[in-house]
Amino acid sequence: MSGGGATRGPRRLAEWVTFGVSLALVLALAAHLAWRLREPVTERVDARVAPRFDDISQQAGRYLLPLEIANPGGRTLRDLQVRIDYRGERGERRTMDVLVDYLGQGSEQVVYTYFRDDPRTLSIHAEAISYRVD
Amino acid sequence: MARAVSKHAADPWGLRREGRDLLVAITGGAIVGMPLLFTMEMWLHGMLLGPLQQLAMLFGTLVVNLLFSIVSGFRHEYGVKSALLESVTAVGIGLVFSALVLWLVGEIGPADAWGEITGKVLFQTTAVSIGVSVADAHVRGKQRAGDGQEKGDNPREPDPEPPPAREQLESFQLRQDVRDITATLIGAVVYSINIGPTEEVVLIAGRLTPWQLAAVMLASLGLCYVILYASGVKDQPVHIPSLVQSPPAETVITYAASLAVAMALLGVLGEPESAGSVRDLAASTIVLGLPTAVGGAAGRIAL
Repeated sequence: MSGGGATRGPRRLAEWVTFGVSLALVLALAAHLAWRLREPVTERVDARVAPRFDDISQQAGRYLLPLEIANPGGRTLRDLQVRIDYRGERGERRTMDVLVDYLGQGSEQVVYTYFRDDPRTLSIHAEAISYRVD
Repeated sequence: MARAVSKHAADPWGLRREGRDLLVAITGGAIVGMPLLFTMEMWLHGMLLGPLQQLAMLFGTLVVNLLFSIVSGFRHEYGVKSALLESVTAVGIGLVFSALVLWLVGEIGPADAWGEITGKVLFQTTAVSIGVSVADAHVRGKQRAGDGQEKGDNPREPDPEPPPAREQLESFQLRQDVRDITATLIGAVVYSINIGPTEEVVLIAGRLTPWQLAAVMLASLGLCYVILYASGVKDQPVHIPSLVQSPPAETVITYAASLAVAMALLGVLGEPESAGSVRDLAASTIVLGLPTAVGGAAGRIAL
């Protein structure tokens, strides 16, 4: 402690304003968190995957298909694995796996996937197959 | 007594005094918190916190700040009552500062869930607010020429002794300028050498638009100015007055030196992607320039 018993006159309006704004912020945050405590805690999240067939583009001779991955739940998902099933040129079944490191609660992420053939002709089906929550 | 009364009359609402205190507070918060604001693990752990953990963290942060405010705080006054007020203000400053920096680097945005935003901001606030709460002991009064404003002195006024010869003054000024730029470079290197090689720089640089990068530059300049002002650079004796000695010029010089350090660090230690193209190198330099500028300006306090 330096300046032992430092006195610098009475507190003035500006200091009270700064304190008032800070206190309002802290109380608002505490109230928001307390209100969120009422929400049910669940580890079951219905992660959704939707291919955007109307948004396919071509790049260097390959097709680019955006996949919209959504987490509508109230928990952040880690290591979310998405599996894409499709039929190859000769009708053989093929799969492609996509790993999303983190997907925040109530958020969406778009992942772009490459295909040699037009995805509209490949009978594509995409779904989330696993995730974990902390 | 008469002096105290005249000071009160000149600043009846305490705006100037509060402004100086807030500069000291922001300086302390930026110096302690900036490296953690650039740490991916901090974002992740903040994002995963539940509401109960966040509430506990808020309460714990207030308690820790109260303890730090009892022994230091960011205002030059001591006592339990003032510590109580300061600890709340320190947390408030930490919340605003953390939210602004996280928004600047694109880590939080209006599309994110509230739970994640509050978690990330709160996690960073712990470090930033502690920096605020030790600012009086570690930032104020560290300038080389004393706190002229508080004492009412003007160090820029010449001494009553006979003035030294012009050549001698030029020599003093040159020595001081060299010392200042050296302190800036050392501070910038020491502070950002741990951030330069990290993936965060590339990640942030890759997601920011040119407008956001411009905002990062403006924020870096603003922080540079705040830290230089709070450290009392304006109170340093000026032997040969010139435009270069003005606070805005000092700020620009410090920021330019910090950008040079950031670019050099990226070239030597950075991720290969940070120098993949001219655009990548420029963006990464601007991003790393933010903590580097804090370090560069802080170097003037520490050295």
